[in-house]
Amino acid sequence: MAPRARALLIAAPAVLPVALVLTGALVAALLQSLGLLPIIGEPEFSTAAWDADGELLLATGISVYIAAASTVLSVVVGFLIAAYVLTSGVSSRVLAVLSAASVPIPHLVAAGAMGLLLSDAGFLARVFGMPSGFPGLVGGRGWGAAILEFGWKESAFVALVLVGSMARSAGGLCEAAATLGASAKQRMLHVLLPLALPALGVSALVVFVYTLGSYEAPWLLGPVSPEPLPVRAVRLFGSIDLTARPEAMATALASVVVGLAAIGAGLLLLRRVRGWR
Amino acid sequence: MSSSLTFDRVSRMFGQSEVLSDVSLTVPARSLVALLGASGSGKSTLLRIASGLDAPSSGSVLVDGQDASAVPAENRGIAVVFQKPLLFPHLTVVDNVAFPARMAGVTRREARSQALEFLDLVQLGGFARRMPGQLSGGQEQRVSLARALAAQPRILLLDEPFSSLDSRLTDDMYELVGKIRAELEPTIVLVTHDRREASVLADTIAVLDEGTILQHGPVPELHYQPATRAVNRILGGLNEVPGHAAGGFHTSVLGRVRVQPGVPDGPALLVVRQEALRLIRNDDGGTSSGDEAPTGVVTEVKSMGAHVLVRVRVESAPGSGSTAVESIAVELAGAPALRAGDRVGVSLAGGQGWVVRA
Ligand SMILES: Nc1ncnc2c1ncn2[C@@H]1O[C@H](COP(=O)(O)OP(=O)(O)O)[C@@H](O)[C@H]1O
Ligand SMILES: [Mg+2]
Repeated sequence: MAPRARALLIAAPAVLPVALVLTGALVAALLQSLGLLPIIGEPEFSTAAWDADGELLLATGISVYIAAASTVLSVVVGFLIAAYVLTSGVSSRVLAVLSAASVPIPHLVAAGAMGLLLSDAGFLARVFGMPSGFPGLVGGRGWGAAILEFGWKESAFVALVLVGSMARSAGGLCEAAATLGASAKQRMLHVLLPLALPALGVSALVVFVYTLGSYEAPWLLGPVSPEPLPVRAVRLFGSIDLTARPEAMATALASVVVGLAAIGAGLLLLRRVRGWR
Repeated sequence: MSSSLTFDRVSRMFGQSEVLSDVSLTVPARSLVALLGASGSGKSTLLRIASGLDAPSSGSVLVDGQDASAVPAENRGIAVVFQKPLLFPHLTVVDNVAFPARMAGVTRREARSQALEFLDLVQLGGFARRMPGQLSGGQEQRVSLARALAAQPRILLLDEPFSSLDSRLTDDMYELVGKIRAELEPTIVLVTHDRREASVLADTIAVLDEGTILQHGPVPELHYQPATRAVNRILGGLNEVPGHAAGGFHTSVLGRVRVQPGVPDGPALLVVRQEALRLIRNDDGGTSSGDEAPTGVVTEVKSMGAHVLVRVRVESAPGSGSTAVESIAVELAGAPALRAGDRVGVSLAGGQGWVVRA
């Protein structure tokens, strides 16, 4: 038996059930979104759930915006944290504290904390004593508080991945660069950044797909309307109006499609970056 | 463009352990000083302090007589070739070598054309477009050397750069160092644990042991006039013959040998290089005058390639009043027909000895 076939066979018991459940769920969702699997009444093909007066498109746009902004924020902050940890000789203990402090906090709790901190009657607004001039981060149209919440939690994740992937090589290469005349900023841009790129790409992809499908933060910290995909999907799914079910499924599937597209594009890009590894 | 480098009473503590203590050393401009010492003696720490990657706990580093303590590594003009090549994995070979010029603000085109010249110097012009992962260890190390030279440093520090290469490659690298010295005349500090490497390349050798400099001098001086037993051992000397110094002479199983002036009377060790001794075959049964070479019995003949190392048990000459017996090592060229048990005479070429404190 070819080693490849053998490997596939060994993996099959683990992979097959997952693949079956996942495809089954996706197909069921698709059928339901097209009106072919109604809870009551006769199946009748319809794409109505997929247009819904452009609401779905708007929700997709909002979700992509939140995910993209959160990803950029976490990648930038995560990289800066990692660069600091790797070059300042801070021991890994500091990093352990850093990650232990934020990674295990559930997003729901983190989002609640953000709400208390950033709302226009919240902690910061009171500290600075500007209830009227305080930016509308919570419940505002820019989803600022939700993006900050994602950025806070996910930047720790990004930093952790980067430090893990570069811990062995970064120190020596940065020292070599310094003796070759590279300033601290140049070492960051011309040594650490290119070195971090593959791990940065992978973690950006994970953060993007995760924030795209994450429900709690935008639900707690965003405006009531318009809604991003996961909030809309959950609301419609829980709706007492059973005819809302196809729209809920279409909304959920839209986030799956965007997620898959992002993964595909990301992997294509990463293949080129990985060339030199 | 070459500068002198001075360590002025440099010490370095790591926690409670003092890795360097009061190291003072001057490396004149355009010279090559080898820092010779065993693993863990503090050689790399000293280089890191010189380059600005580490700071001394006390003392200072002077470049051309100017205190460099406040100058960060990137502005010191001191380049380092580390034990590992540390090439940037995301850059081609030529861009690795162009890195220093790029950081100094030179255009990519100009930096690359300069880089190619340095690659030609290390005979790797044909590898410019490769990635570092596609090179052999020796090639990587040469690229690393080219990259350091491309920074046009005032001082070049080499931290055991050839220790992972095979012996033929190291010989090539020694030639390369000679060529670089002839063409660019940089000041070089070479760190090594290999006394042969130090002897082949250096103008002077500084012996570092447990964080202190034991002796710094020209290569022959270190070999034939070591300051202490430790220096003699680090430079591979095998013979330290106990005896007594008096009136400018040393008396031992090797007889009465004239030694350097200024030696106080008392017990002293005669240091003789195994390469400086000759063996005399006593085929005629040893009938000769009183002023004869000491004799002994061969105990071991060990091949060292083109040379052999012979160990001889030498007894005190009869009638000298002493019953001392010493094992003396003698290194001979060729393949002499000697076997354990043979009786031989040992003679000291030149007749001049060197003693150190017992
Ligand atoms: N950063 C450090 N922290 C603690 N001890 C160190 C550090 N760097 C080096 N040492 C210690 O200093 C001694 C000398 O190290 P090093 O200069 O690397 O020796 P060499 O290069 O001669 O082999 C070693 O005992 C080593 O363990
Ligand atoms: Mg070392």
